[in-house]
Amino acid sequence: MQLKKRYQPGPVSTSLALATCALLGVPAMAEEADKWQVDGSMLLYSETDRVSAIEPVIKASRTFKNESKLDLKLTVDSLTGSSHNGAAVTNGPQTFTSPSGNKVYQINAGDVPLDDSFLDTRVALSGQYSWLLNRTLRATSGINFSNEYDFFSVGANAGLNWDLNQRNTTLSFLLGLESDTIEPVGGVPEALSLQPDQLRTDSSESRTVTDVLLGWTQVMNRRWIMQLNYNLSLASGYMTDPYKVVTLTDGAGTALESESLGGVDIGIGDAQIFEQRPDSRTRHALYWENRYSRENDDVIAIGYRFMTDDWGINSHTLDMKYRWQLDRGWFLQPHVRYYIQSEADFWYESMTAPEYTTVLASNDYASGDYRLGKLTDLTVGLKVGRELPSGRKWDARLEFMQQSGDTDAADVSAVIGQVGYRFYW
Amino acid sequence: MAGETRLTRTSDGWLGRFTAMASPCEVQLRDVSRSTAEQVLKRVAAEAWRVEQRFSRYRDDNIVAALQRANGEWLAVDEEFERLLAYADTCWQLSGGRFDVTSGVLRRVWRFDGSDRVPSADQVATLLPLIGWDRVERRPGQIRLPAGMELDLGGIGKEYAVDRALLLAREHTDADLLLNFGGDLVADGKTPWQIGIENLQQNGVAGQIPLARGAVATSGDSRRFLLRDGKRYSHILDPRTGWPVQGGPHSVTVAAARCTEAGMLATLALLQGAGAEPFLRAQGVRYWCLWE
Repeated sequence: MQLKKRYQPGPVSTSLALATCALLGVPAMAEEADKWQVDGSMLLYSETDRVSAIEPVIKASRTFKNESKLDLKLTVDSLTGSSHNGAAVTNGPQTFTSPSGNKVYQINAGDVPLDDSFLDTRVALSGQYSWLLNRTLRATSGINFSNEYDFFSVGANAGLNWDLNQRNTTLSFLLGLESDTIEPVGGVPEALSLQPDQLRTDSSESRTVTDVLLGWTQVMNRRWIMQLNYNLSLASGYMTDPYKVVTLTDGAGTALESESLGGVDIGIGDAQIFEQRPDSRTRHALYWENRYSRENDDVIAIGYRFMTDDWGINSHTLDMKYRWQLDRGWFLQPHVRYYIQSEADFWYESMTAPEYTTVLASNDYASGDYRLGKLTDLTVGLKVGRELPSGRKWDARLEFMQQSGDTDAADVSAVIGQVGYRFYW
Repeated sequence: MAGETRLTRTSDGWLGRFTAMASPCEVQLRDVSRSTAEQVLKRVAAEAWRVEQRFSRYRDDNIVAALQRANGEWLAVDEEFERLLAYADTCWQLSGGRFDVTSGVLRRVWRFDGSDRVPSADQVATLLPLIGWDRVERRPGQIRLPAGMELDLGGIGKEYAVDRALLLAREHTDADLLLNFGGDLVADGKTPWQIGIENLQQNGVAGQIPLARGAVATSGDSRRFLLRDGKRYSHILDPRTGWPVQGGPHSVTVAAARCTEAGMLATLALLQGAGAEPFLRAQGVRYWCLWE
């Protein structure tokens, strides 16, 4: 008798459990019972000439005998590099103060105004527990914390998942509450005031975010699963970015002088005002995903997301993945993502003195943050990985992102690299 | 294949009975109406009879018989049969050839009736060329068995029927449920059932374990053996030699998530002979061995 490999009596129960699920045509339990499934990953994100980030993540999840499940996640984000300070690209040099207000820096004509003091470490911790109320109803509840040197966030959520129609339909409901505290370096700047005047209050600001998620997952047939989610997000409180400014210009591309508007003179092209955003934001998002498994075990996933908010931003995201299943657990997964967004009602590339007067008089909103402007992103990438018979798995991903918008500040290209490893413990 | 089903009231629900695969079969349900219990019982029994009809080697009107009649020719098979063959293949691989669905031909010379009729070495040797899963050819939707070979899915069928029946029963009710086909069983409920484990017996009384969700299956039969010149020959045959496995337990009971899996772990353990317990310990499952 010829065997493919030399036989060693050893643990076969995992392979046998998977084979049994295949025989019965039921989904395999991905996680091994009574063990922690640990997923570790390291993400590197690097924008050309701008921000670089290193993000290690460790996730641990465990399914207990009573089918309750605990998920824990620790994320550390370490950011370095330069980020756009909100100002316009102008014909002449411009002068800014650093976020703390203690230093002054200049940007040359034609350059994207970047603040190079950008350095931050974020630590986030979350825990989610879900349990069966009865055969078809599962409850879930979780908490999360996130901390940065100028930001602290705490959140909690609770929800229900209801299986119907012989588990071919799942309806879910989730309510999330989050409370954020922002303590800007150097104090909270007075919105719409001239940056050189350094009008700041030594205090902190806060906001709360309420999220409601309604989900519908439908098994269409043996190979096709569809998911439709609606997310309502209500934020209220301080949403302004304390480090971002809007440039006041003469309308022909040259920054004005602060002193000409009655402000302090700190240098050339220093008429920069601190931005102001609304103190509430209502967002509606609709997400639709289809997953189709082909006869040869390849998987096609297509997702579409539409978001609209009362700041005037509408966005569309189209995300496509193809998982190409190769021999012996290897897989290749090409990925394409396209994102397009319209600008907020109060987005200004720059502002003229008369516009400023009007905005100031009515205490209106203004922001020059390119992330609130018109944007188009294209991401392409490839993931390669291997699932081992023991349930362990590793993968590596490389992606390129190209972003463009109405200003040079929005033109960003980035490389994303990630490696991940899953094991049971 | 149809038969009779009988439904009776119990203290906390219903007990349905029928006979399939030469075994008494039971369905227990809690907190459902009589009509639901009746529906579930009918569905479960119909599935047990269907699996028996389709895959029993004692019938001449099914795929197993047709395969033997094909006499070495390719034969078209359906998806369910293909999945069973794929499972048998996995088990053959995982056991290093010890579990082999073509080993049934050994029954022609081995009859475990408690007598001393041990076959001769020649008799066993002439059958060995007819055994070997690796000699079975498969391609999508088709199988070819060399002439003279036989296929026996008896080592999978009953446990498979239990798991299948549970899936179908779940289309009718979410209530607590216990299916027991001649000792191979699956429980699926919130409140545990008391499960008698024959291999736990002390003084002839079976021990009990509580089981809310999961399956228990037993392989082996302490009553089937041959005895010659003081040597006991177990009915567990190693398909690689054609001779009984020595030094192992008479029967093994295993608890696992699904009945098919539990039954196969018990069978694979028996095929390890004296190595049965180390094998079971390595699987990290609950098990009970009966040695004498």
